[in-house]
Amino acid sequence: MIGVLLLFAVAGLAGQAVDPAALSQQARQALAQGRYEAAAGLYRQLAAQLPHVAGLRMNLGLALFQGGSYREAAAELQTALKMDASLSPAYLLLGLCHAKLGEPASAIVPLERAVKADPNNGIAVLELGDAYYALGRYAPAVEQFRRLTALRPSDPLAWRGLGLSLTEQSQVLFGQLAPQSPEALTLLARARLASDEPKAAYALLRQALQKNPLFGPAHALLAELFQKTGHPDWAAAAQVKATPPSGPYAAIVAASEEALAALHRLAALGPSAALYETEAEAARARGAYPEAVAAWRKALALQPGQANLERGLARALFTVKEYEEALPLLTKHALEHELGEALLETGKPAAAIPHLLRATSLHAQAALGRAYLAADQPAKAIAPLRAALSVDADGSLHFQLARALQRTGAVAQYREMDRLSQQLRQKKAEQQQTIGSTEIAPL
Amino acid sequence: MKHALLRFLCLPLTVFGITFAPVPGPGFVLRHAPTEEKHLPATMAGGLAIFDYNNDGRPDLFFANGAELPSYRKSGPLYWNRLYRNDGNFRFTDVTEAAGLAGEGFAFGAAAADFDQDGHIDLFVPALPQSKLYRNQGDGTFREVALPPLGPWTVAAAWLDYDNDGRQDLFIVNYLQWSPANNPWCGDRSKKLRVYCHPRHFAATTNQLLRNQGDGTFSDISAASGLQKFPGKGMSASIADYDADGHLDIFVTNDGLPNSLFRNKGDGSFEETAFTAGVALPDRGLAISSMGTDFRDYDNDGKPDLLVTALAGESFPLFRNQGSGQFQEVTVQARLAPLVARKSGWGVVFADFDNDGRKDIFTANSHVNDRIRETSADSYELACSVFLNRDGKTFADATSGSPELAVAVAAHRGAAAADLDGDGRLDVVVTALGAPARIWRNTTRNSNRWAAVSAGVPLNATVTIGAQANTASSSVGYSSSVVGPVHFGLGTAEGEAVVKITAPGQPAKTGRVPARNSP
Repeated sequence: MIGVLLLFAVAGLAGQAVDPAALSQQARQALAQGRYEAAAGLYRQLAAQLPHVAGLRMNLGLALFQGGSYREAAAELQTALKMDASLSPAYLLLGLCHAKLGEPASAIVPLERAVKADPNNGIAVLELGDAYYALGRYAPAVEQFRRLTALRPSDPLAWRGLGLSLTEQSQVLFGQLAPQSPEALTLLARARLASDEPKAAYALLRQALQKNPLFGPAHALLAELFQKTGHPDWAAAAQVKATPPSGPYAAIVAASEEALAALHRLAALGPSAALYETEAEAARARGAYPEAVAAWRKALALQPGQANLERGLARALFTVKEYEEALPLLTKHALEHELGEALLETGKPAAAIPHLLRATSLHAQAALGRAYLAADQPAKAIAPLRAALSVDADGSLHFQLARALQRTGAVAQYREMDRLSQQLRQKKAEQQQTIGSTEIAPL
Repeated sequence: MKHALLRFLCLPLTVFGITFAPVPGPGFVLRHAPTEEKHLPATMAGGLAIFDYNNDGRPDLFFANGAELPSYRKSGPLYWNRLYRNDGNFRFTDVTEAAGLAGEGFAFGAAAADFDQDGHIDLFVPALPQSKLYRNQGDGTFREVALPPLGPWTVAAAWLDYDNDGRQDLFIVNYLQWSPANNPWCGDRSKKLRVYCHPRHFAATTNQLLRNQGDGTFSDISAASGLQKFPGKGMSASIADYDADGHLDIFVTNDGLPNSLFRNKGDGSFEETAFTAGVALPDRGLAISSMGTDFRDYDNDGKPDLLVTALAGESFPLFRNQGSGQFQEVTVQARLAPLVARKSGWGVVFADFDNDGRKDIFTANSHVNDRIRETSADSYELACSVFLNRDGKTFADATSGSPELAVAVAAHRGAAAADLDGDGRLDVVVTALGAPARIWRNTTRNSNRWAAVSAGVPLNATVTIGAQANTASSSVGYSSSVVGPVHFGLGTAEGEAVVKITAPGQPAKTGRVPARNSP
C-alpha cells in the first residue's frame, strides 16, 4: 500500500523546536520498516507542530491504517480532506478504512472520488466494486468489475467480482419475476436442464407453456431438451414456435451467461485463493458442503491466516458438523452463534449458553432455547424459542417450544404449540414432493 | 502392518471396561444383491435371531438373507437364510437344509417366540414378496404356517401378548410402499450419482397386529386394535410396558417420520402417544431416519428406556423414562451426543457386557447410502461401537478397548447379544451387507458375578434383581430377535440373588438364582 500512495514529505522547514524534516524522515523510515505505531507517533508530533499541513494528517492516517487502527485513521483522513479536498490518495485510504471497518455504505463516496481521480487505480476500482457488492448494488458493482477486468485481466479478484456480481444481478432480476410466470418457470427449467435433469426441466416447461402457450423462449428450451434427450423430430417441431428471448428473461439469461464466462476466466487463471473461495461458495450454494470445506482449505493453503478465509472454513466445518476441528477457528473469530451451536452439539450446553446469548440472530435464539432444554432449564428455553418461531420452516422450533412448555407444566400451551408444530411439519412434507418423475412427451 | 499398529496406538485407550475379540464366524455371508438400480431392499437386509431351536441349552443363530433383485428369487444357496446349530466353544454347524429354513424371497430379519406354547421356539421371517412364519416342530425341523395377508413390505416384527391371554401375538412392522416398478432415480444426475431414495419418495403404510387364535392360526386385528389409523414408515419395533399399567406397549421407529408409540389401552386397542410421551422426535424437533431400537432400563430405576439408532448428524436419541408415561431425551446429558454425532447405526443392544449391574450399549454402524462419501464427509462402512454405562446416567466410548472391533469397518446392519459360550459374558453377533457375519466374543476381564434367569419367564416379562430390571423381550435392534435366559450382571454381589418376575396379566413370582463367577 505504501508503494501505491504518495507520501507527503516535509522539507525546508528547519528552525522548528524539533526539526520537522528530520521527524518526517524518521516517520517515513518507520513506516517503511513496518513500525506503524512509531510512525503514527512521529506524524502526530509533526501534525501538532504543523497543524495546517493536510498532507501530514494524511500520512498520520496512513500510519494508523497500516497499524490496523482503522477508526482513528478514518478520523485523521477526514480531517485531512476537510483541510484539502484535492488530496486524492486520502479518499482511497478513507474508503479502505471504511471497508476494513465493515462500513461499505461509508466507503462508497470516498472510493468513488478516488476512482474519479484515478480511473486506472486498480485498488480503488476493486474496493469500490466490493463496496457496491456488499451493499447489494449489483449493477454498479458489475460496472466496476468490468472496468477492473480490463485494467487487470490476470487478476483473479477482478473475474471473481464480476462473476459474483453478475450472478447476484441475475438473481435479483429473477426475484422480480412473478414466481409462477412463464419466464420464471422457463428459467428454472433452464437450470434443471443444465443440471442434467431433463424430466424436471420438462415438467417446468410444461407448466410454463400452460401459462402462456406462445412463450417463445420456452419452446426454444423445449427444442434443446428434446434434442438432448434424443427426440430430434419433436425438437424440430418445438423450434418452429421458438422466439429469441427478450425483456427481463433475456437480461437474466445474459447476466447469468456472462457470469459463467467470468468464472470460467477465473478458473483459467489457475490456482488462487479467489478461485478456491469462489469454489467454496458455489459448493455451499449447491449443498456440496464437504467440497466447500476442501475448497476453503485450498484457499487457506495459498493465503494462510487470512481472516475471511479462516471464517469461511470455520463456517463450512460447522456446516458439515466437524465441530471439534471448527471450534478453535470459531473461537478465534468469535463466531458466537456457530461457536455456541458447536459446543451444544458436542455435548456442552452450559458452555454454549453464554455464546448464544451474545449472538443476535433468530437462529441463534433457537439454538439458545435448545441449549437451555439440553441443560435441563426448560423454563429459560421458552423465551428464546418463542422469539425464534418466525424462522421455523419445518415445525422443529414449535416442537422444541412445545417440549419446553410440556416440561414446565403449561399443558394447554403445550398442546397448541404441538398442534402448530404438526401443521408445519405436514406442510414441509408436502413441499418436499418431487417433480422429477414426469415422463417426457411432446407438448 | 506398521500402519495398522499405529492406528491401534493412536486410539484413545482411556476406557478398558469392556473388551471383545473376534472368533471365527459360522460362515454366513449376507447377500443383498446391490445393483445400479438402487433397489431399496438391497440396503435393508441384515436382521438375525439368536434362540435355542433344539433346546440343548445353547443359543443357535439364524440369519435372514437377501435374494436377487428385483425378482426376489433365491436363485441358489448363496441366498438362503441360514440356521446354525451352536455346538459349543463357538463352533457352529449349518443345519439350514435339515431344518427347512432356507426360505423364499428377500428376507430382512427375524422374530422368534414360542407362539404355540409347545416348548419349541418358532420363527417369523419378514421378507419380500411374502413373509413366512415357521413353526418349530421340535424335531429339528420347521414347517410354514399360514398367515393373513401382510405388506406391502414387512421389514420387521415383534412378538407380544397384547391381550394378556397367555398367547403370543405378532406385531408386523411395515416399511413403505416401494416396488421395483416404483423405484425412481434419486441422486445427482450431473455427477451420475444414483443413490437409494429417501423414504419421502414413497407413500407411508400402516403396521399390522395378528392375534394368535390359539389354534395355530392368526387373525389380522389391525383395524379393530386401532393400529390401522396410524401410517408410518416402520423399521423396527420394541416392546415394553412403559407406563406400568400391566399391558404391553409397542414402540416403532419410523424412517424420516416421527416415531410411533402405541400405548396398549388394555381393552384390545391402542392409542398413539409418541408425541405426548416425548419419543416421537428428538428434542431438536426434526424427524430422523430412525433405524433400530431397544427398550430397556439403563438407569436401574425400574422403568424401560428407549434408545434409537439413526444416521450421521441425527444422533442416537436416548429417551429416559421418567414415569407417568413421559420420556425425556437425555442424549446430551448422558454424554452420548458427541460420541455418536458422526455415526450411523442400525442394530442396537442394551446389555450389561461387563456384569457391573448397568446396561451398556452396542451399536452396529453403517450409513444407509453406499455412496455417501461422494457427497459428504461421512463414511458408508463403519466400525461397531461399544458404550460403557459408567454410573447409570452417562456413557463413555469403550470401543477402543477392543482394537479389532474398532477397526472392523463394514456395512453393518443387525446385532444381537447372547452368552454363546456359557461363560457368563454376553457376546455379540453382527451382520454386514456383502460380508461375513461376525461373532465378537466378550473377553472382558473382571471379577464381577452374573446370573441368568430362564425358568418361568414369559416373553416380555419384567425380571428384576435388586434395582435392575430387564425386559424379556425377544425383539432387539434392527429387525432382530433374541430368546433366551435373561442375563444380569451382579457386580461383586455374592450368594443368591432374589428374582422377581412380573408378566402382564399374571401374578408376580419371586425366586432365587445363584450369583456365578465367570472363568
